[in-house]
Amino acid sequence: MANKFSILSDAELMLHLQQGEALAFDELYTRYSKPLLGYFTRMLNYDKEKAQDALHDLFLKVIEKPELYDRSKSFRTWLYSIAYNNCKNHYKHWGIVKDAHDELKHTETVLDERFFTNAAAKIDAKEFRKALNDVLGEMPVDKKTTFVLRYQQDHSLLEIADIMQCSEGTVKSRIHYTLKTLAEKLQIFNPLI
Amino acid sequence: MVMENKKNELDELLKNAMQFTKEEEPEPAAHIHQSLRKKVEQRKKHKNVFTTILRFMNADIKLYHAGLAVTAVAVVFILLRPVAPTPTTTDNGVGGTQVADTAGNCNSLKQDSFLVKNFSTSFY
Repeated sequence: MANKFSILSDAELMLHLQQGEALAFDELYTRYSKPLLGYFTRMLNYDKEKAQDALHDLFLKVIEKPELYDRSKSFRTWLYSIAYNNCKNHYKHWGIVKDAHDELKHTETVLDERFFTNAAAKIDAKEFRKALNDVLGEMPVDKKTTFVLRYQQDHSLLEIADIMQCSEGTVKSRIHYTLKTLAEKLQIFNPLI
Repeated sequence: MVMENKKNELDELLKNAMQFTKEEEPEPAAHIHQSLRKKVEQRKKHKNVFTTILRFMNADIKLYHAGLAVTAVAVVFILLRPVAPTPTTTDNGVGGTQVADTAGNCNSLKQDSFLVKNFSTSFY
């Protein structure tokens, strides 16, 4: 049964949450817990326990410091920016942060999009998905985040730029770099190359 | 146009590949939801208990507020202070007020001793 909170906007729900309204929290949790868990699962290399912990930490921050949310901005963007910073900390902890600027070297190269379109028709979807995950698992956190936000979470380039505190051009550049890396590493799936 | 179509196909392919299948789709743990929910409810309780104190602690107090408070406390102190009972009559029937009134006007020794006697009577 839908409660009165289901029709409220995220910003309105946050106001109720600040006043300790558990039903408002339920509604926000219902809206965002699943996609965020998907994001964490992918970003933390399918470590389900860590993903659940990260989800818990994120919502804990929302509950304990709701005043940090600027109501003039998108709640979803705010949530994902917390999630992104959380993942970045995990990656720092693992010591696998790679040079965030090396994509600049690749921006001038031309991406062969035919690879993917040919592959779309011929490859085994399951195998492709597995290989794609493997390649993404080795990517630096910034590029992986950009790719996951774009293709898994369906964010716009502008939203991604807001989440990652960078320009839209940088987002495009990172996506281009990632697509190029994928095209190189997943050649096995393209019989034409 | 052709490029645009290819780009859309590429987007579709990658979006499909990036989605979880039904089997692998992660589900948020119920205990996490419950523990977080409790924290929200605790926040409500805390709000009721501590709001007044917090509001007071964050109040913007001006100098005239302090002045008014000091005046109010002083007025209350003066009004409520215990007053010593004033004797109205003495043993020899002379009124206490009378004794005090005569104190400034006495010249003779006889009058003085009368006053001293009267004073000590009223004092003890």
